[in-house]
Amino acid sequence: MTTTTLKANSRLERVLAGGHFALTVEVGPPRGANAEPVRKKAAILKGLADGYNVTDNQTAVVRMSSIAAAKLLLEAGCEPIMQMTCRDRNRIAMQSDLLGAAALGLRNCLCLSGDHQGQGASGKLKGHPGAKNVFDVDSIQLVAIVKRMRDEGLQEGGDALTEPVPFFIGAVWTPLSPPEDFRVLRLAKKIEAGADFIQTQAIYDVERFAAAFAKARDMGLAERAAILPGIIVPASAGMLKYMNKNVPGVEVPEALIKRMEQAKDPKAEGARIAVELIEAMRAIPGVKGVHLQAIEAEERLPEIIKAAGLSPRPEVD
Amino acid sequence: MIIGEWKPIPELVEMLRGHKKILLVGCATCVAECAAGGEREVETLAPLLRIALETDGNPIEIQTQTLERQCEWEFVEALDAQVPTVDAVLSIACGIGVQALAERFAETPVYPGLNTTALAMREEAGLWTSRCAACGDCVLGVTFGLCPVARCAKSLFNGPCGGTRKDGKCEVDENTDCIWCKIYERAKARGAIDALLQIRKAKNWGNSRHGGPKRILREDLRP
Amino acid sequence: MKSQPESPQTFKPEIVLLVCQGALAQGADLETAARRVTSFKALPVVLPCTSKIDISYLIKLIEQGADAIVIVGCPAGACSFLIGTDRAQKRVTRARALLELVKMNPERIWLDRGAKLPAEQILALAEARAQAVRPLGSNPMKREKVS
Repeated sequence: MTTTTLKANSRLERVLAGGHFALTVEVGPPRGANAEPVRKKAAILKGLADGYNVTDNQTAVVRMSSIAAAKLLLEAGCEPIMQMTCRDRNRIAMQSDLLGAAALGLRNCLCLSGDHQGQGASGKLKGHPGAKNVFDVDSIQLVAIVKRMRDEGLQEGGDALTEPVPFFIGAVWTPLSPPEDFRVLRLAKKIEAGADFIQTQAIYDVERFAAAFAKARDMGLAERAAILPGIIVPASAGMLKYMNKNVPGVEVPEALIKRMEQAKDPKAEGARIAVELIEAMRAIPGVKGVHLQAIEAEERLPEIIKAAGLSPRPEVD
Repeated sequence: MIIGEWKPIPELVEMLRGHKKILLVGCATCVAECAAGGEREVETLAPLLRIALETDGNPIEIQTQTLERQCEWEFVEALDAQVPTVDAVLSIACGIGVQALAERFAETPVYPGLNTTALAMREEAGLWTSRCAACGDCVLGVTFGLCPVARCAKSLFNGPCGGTRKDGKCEVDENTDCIWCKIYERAKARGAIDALLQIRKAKNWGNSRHGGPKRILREDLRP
Repeated sequence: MKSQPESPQTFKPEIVLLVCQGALAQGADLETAARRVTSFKALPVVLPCTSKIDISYLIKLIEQGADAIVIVGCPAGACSFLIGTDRAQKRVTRARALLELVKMNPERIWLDRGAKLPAEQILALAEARAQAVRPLGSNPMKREKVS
């Protein structure tokens, strides 16, 4: 596969283009200006994944910006996937930040709507519920904007850019949120708009996901874009219950909750569940990889990645 | 209509402290419709504020009036004789009415007693919900009559986002429908899902508040 | 929640009675019976239905110094005007909430129910409320009554 057929030549893109099962992981930036926590996480995860997502003020809580943290990861040898929500920036700031990000060497961008700031930052932090949100464009329009910058070298308003902007474009799929039968059609819209890869909301119900994925595959979507189901490593039964109740689109089967409740060592059990989920996803024809997350517990990922047989990563440089 | 709600009593007390005689003015149109600023509310808020200020150590005389509409000069003029006799005016009209009074009676402080919040409709008795966001580029023709700008918390044009709750409500408020769920249901009922497969391009917000304070001038209607 | 200090034992609470026709026995003379009361001051008003009571009346009565308002309406489901008594309940709830916002004890507005009660029984309800609000003291708005 020659580089001329690649859109951004990121490692993630090359892994997928080479037909390998891809692995992306998530790195949460700190609620502060210290680069060290980011570097520490990079040191733990270096070489273990094909792309490292950096969230963008997730749950509308102010954290180090995705682009800045992503640059730190890049410098530390981890190819980042920056994330950009539609909540905090208008199209002018978005395009400007994307130009800057590309100039700094970032090559993957996940486009998403973003959590509404009124949510109260998952109850534990104050956040900024009184902030004015932006939502100038939605996630699908943002995907189209990035595609236009890349493939036509044009800004959304029509002005030319000095050169095209190379990004491997990502979007999110939440297959199990209502209205369920529309979700795969909306996925089609995202891919039509220009999404190259898709990461899903955390999946715990493999059967239901497989059914939704089959529809996507039947529509040819799984070949036009690489779909990577999301897996969040369970830390406790409480966490699963919380997510099942409070995180839209996350459905946790009762059996899994019971399993965590009865586990003598919940952390170890959670790791086992994560490995099983990875293997289950791998077994679904057409799934091109997985997106693994351990919220504020990135140090748990290396053992899980190894246990799931996803180490070492393929050579694609 | 325009809806609003009373400012919190402590905020009103703060505004009126130091004044001895004020005029509380209501409006019999939009804010009366949403039971915030009509005559009934004037007659409830006046004694309530008298109690609040009295017990705050600031006895106050509150005169009352309710205009048909506070956004028409011909109704506002009716207060010409009364306003100069008071220290201040407290208007429980929407922001438009407050400004009309403030403009006409430039010498007298005019305070807002309401927080104006939305362009809404009374869904049922006692329940008002937002309907329009005055975006200046109406898309109701392509969203089956349901406004995603006003009624989607993220104003999505290609919704729904992943935040729809299991029961079809919006992640932001358990009482609010995910309007994109509703739009989809309508499309499905009419056999018109295809319409939702089209990617809606980025909106031109220039004809709304985002383009600057709105001004409409019609030469044919000028004096 | 006490809004004012204890007052002297000579305090005679002023109780406004808002009674609907259905709650009052036919032919009962509430006015005469009210004049005979000595431990508190009863101010009776008979209405066709408690739903005639607007929230603004309740607030005004308190603002003008009433120590308590006792509304006597028909029992739920027995209102001659079907839902009048339910309406009154909702308005009483809101009026009490408004009183709390201005640091007035919401107990000063009370809703009782009864059907065709003789005057003495209605006054007994008023007396009960008078006793209940005695510890709250006289309505502070009484001190500065606007003429």
